[in-house]
Order: sequence, then structure tokens, then C-alpha cells
Amino acid sequence: MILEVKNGSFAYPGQDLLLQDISFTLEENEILAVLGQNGIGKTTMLKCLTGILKWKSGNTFIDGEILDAKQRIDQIGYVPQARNLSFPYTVKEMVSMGRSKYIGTFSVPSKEDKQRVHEVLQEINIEHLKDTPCTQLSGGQLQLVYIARAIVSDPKVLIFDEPESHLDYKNQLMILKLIKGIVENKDISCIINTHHPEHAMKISDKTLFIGKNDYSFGETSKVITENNLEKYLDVKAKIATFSFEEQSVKSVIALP
Amino acid sequence: MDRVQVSNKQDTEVYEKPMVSMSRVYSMCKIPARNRVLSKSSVIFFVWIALCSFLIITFFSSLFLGRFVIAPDTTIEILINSILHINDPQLQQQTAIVTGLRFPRTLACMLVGAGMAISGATFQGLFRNPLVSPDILGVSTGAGFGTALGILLFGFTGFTSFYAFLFGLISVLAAYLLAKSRNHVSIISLVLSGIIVSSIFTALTSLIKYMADPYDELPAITYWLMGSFSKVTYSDIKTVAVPILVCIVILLLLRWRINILSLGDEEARSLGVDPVKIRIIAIIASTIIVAASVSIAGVVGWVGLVVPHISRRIIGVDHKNLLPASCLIGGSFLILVDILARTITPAELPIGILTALVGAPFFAILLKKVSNRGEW
Repeated sequence: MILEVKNGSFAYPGQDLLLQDISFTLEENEILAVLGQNGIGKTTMLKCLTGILKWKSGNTFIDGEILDAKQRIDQIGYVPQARNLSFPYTVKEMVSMGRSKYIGTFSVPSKEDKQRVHEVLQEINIEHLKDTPCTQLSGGQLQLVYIARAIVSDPKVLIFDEPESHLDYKNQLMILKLIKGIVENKDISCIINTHHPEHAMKISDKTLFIGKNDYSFGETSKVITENNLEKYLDVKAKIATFSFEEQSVKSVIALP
Repeated sequence: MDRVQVSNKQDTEVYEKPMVSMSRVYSMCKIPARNRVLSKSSVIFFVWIALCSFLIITFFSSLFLGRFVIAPDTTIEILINSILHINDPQLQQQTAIVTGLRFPRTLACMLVGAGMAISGATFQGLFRNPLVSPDILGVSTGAGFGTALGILLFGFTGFTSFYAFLFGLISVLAAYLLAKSRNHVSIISLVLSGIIVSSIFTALTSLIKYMADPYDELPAITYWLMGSFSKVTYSDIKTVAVPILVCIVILLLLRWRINILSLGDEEARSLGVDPVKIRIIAIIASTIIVAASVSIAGVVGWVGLVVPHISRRIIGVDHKNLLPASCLIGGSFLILVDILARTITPAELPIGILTALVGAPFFAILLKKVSNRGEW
């Protein structure tokens, strides 16, 4: 399945264009990282993709066809940032909400829905937490619950909004590894919003830099360059390569 | 928006774990680990049975308790007689009390209590705030004004309940239209416009009280605004039972969707649910319930605020269980308070005073318990 955005533009009512004429393509089993400064429109772009907001012009296509509201619900799973909840739902209750597109307005989760929730909890390895209220989870655990909730709806594209923010170093890497694993094991592609170019280099195949009036899109190894880091993130940095156990590892070092 | 989330965070902590946690039940019963055969769902099943029997017991007690105590077995005899249309001349007085006064009254308490509680639970979910009661959008004050106007214009007749119902709906509609801008209704502006509409109707009610005849109309208005089930008749119940029951069923059917709406609009959309339509249906249903309740019993506060909290402690936060539990507990709660209202003093107390006197301390204890554990 191929996800395409063609000439996407967006502006909040009464404001200048935030996103201008953005186009990119994502193939099956690929991860796209979206990089850019705060307030540049990364989250807005994800919201346009998921249909929470509507493109002002341009469109999203899946396999060459315009993504309509119904398809969007069927194909796209969205993982929001881990944040505070209004009610202390248990993990099981929370994850089962991911099945809502399969559950009628006037009904409640069926046996199959519960079964699927159970499977996903095992897959993500949080089955032991199933009766814990979400308000008592750590940031990393809560992020896992949100990921489980998105996966349980069996989407074709998974969209993450800064999944590793607010997490400690270890949990950041754990989440990245999990995302990589999900994309490899299931036939889905994935878009992730991040502030860390290093994380993008670690897991993504494609990268999209969003700037004020332009953007840059391509293979991660070709797009994440010292030039682009300065141009789009306003950071002077050096990309260093070293080898570890016969693998070459890349790292971004901000210059003083 | 940031600020709103911060305040939400604090609200969050008011809720806590349900009491029905298996480990707690087991440790209370001192059941050794290997013998733990009851699953969580079977515990919940027992909770349902307990709640239903509690409602039935309070309903029955309400028929023989009161100023004039009738023995339980006589009450049963009267009920059987009236079902079989047997006329026992010895029990004429008791029959008149049980079937003519207490039965419709208890039925009305149950309907109103269940209705107010389920709309309170729904509103707290929709507005993602534990301090919301079903009259947050001004239903009660609107209906209160309607009644006062009705009494002023026509005296106390059947018209007054119609006016109560009408103005209850008008006030919510006004709040909704006031909050609507560019085809978009945000929750904050809805709550704020509810407060505006409420205060306008409160002022208008005061104006009517000021103009009313102090010997005749004013006491009628004041007494009615405090709430009472003493004047409820079968014909009142016939008028409101259908709308209240239909709306309760609608809310019960929507109960799982309320979970999704309580996550906020954006998350609901990302899960493939259109929050706007469901919210409008739920608001209309709750409004009809409250307006209908106020039209037969006056303003009965606190039930819609307190009962959902009690229910959460018993059954958990999942609205799938919370809404039906609120119904059962709300019905029992209001019947109990009504029994108190007509037994503790020779003259009957207005029930609105008692729900506040019973409900507020109860709520305070609940809050204290939560805050002692450092959760709030």
C-alpha cells in the first residue's frame, strides 16, 4: 500500500498558510520521520493526514485513490502523545476503545473485540498491566497503551505524534525499537513526528523536513545532512560516523 | 488550551480505583490464593445483583414507612389485593395511603433519581469534569423560571409543569446557540454560556417572586423550587414516565460511546468516532430527563452530582457499567431521601433541602478519603 500526499496546504482560520504545497510518498513497510522546529506545523500535518483537520488544498492518496473519511478511519491509526487522562480507565478498557470503528454507536465491545485486545496486549507485552488504571502508569507504559490502542484497530498506516517525548532515555529507545519491530512484522507503514534527528536516522527510511516556506523530502541518509540541520532546525551540527561491532553508527553532535 | 489541560489533570485525580478490585475482595474474605476461582466478571455480576436487590428493598420499604406506619405484611396484602382488584373494607384507609399516595410517589422518586443520576454521569463524561451536574447548561433554572411564571399566570395547575418543561428546553437551546460559533461548539464555551443562561433565569425567577402575591403565590413558588414529591399523582407519572424512560434507554445504549467522548474530541475523531452528533443526542436526552423531572418534583439538586461519584467507587469508571449502576443507585438514593423527608419531622420537609443535607456531607467524606491518600 502506498501513501501519498500531493500539494497539501493548510492554514488555520484567519491565519497565513502554515503548510504550503507539501508532497511526499511513502511505500509499504517504510517509516517516515517528520522533522522541524516547534510551531512549524508538524503536528498540524499529522492531523491533516488523520483527518482531524482538513487540507485546505491538495489531498492524501492511498494506492492512487483519494483518501475519504471512511477510508481514513479504516486505514489510519493515530498514537497521540502520552498525556493526562480525564478518567482512570484501566489499560484493558483503554485499549478496547481502539476497536471503536468496529463497534456500533449503540453497542459495546463483543467477544471478538475483547479477544483482539487480549492478543495485542500480549504482543506489546503489557498483559500484566491490563487491570491497572492508566493514571497509575509511567510515561513509557502509557505510551505503550496508546500504541496498543492504535494497533488493535488493525490499521495500514500508523501515525505517531512525538512518541518518545516526555520519556526517559531508556524508554525512548524502547519505543523506537518497538515501532521498528511493528513495521517489520506487520504489513504497515508508519509516520513519526520527532525532535531528534538521531532518532530519525536510527529507524526511518524516509525523512521530511518542514521549514517556514519550504520543505525537503527524501531518503533519510540523503536528506539528513549538516546543511539541512542548520537550514530547518537552526542548529549547527556535525554528523559523525563510527563503527561498533562492524556496523557503522551515525550520530548527530551539536556544535558549540 | 494548555491551561485547560492543567486543570483537567487535577480533576483527574478525584476519581480513583473502584472498590471492586479482586485482590481486595479476596484479601477481605481471606481466601487463599489457590482457591481464588471467582473471576472479575463474576464479582461484578454479584454487584449487579446487590444493586438491584437494594433498589427493590428500598422501593418496598418506602411503601410501608412514613408518618403512618403500615406493617410490611399488610402492605403486601394491599398490593396483592389491588393487583387482583379485591376490595377489603377493613383496609380501606391503608389501601388509600399505599396505592393512592405512596406508590405513585415512590415510583416518581425512582424515575427522577435514576434519570438525574444517569444524566449526571453522562454529563461528567461528556464534559470530562467530575464537578459537572446535569443542570450545568441551565435546565433546572430554566425549568424553575417556567414554573414560577406558570404559577404567577395561572396559579398551580397542570400548565405549570408544561411551562417548566418548555423553559428547561429553551434554556439549554439558548446556551447551545450562544456557545456556537462558526459551526463549532467548544466544551468550555458551552459551560460558560450555561452559566450565563442560568444566571439570567435565576434573576428572572427572583423578579417573578418579587412580583408574586406574598400570601398565596410566593409560598407556592418558593416551596416548589425546593422540590417535593408530595403532590405527585398517577397522571403526572403518566406524562413524564415515557420521555424519561425513553431517554434513559437512549443514554444506556450510548454508554460505551461516552467512554470515547470522554477522551476529548480530537482523540475521538482519531478513533473514527464523530463526537458532535453523539454529544448532541446525549445532551438532548439528559435535558429532557431533567426538565421532565423538574416539572413533576421541582428542583432536586445534588443527586446528579453525587450519585455518579458513589457509583464510580462501586463499579469503576467504565461508562459501560457506570451508567446502569448510576440508574440503580440514583433510584434507591432518592427513594431513601424521600423516606427521610416524610418521616423525620411531623410536617414534611422539601426534598431538595434533604438531598443537599445528605448529599453534601457524603460528597465531602468521599473527597476527604481521596485527598487523604494524597490523590487529590
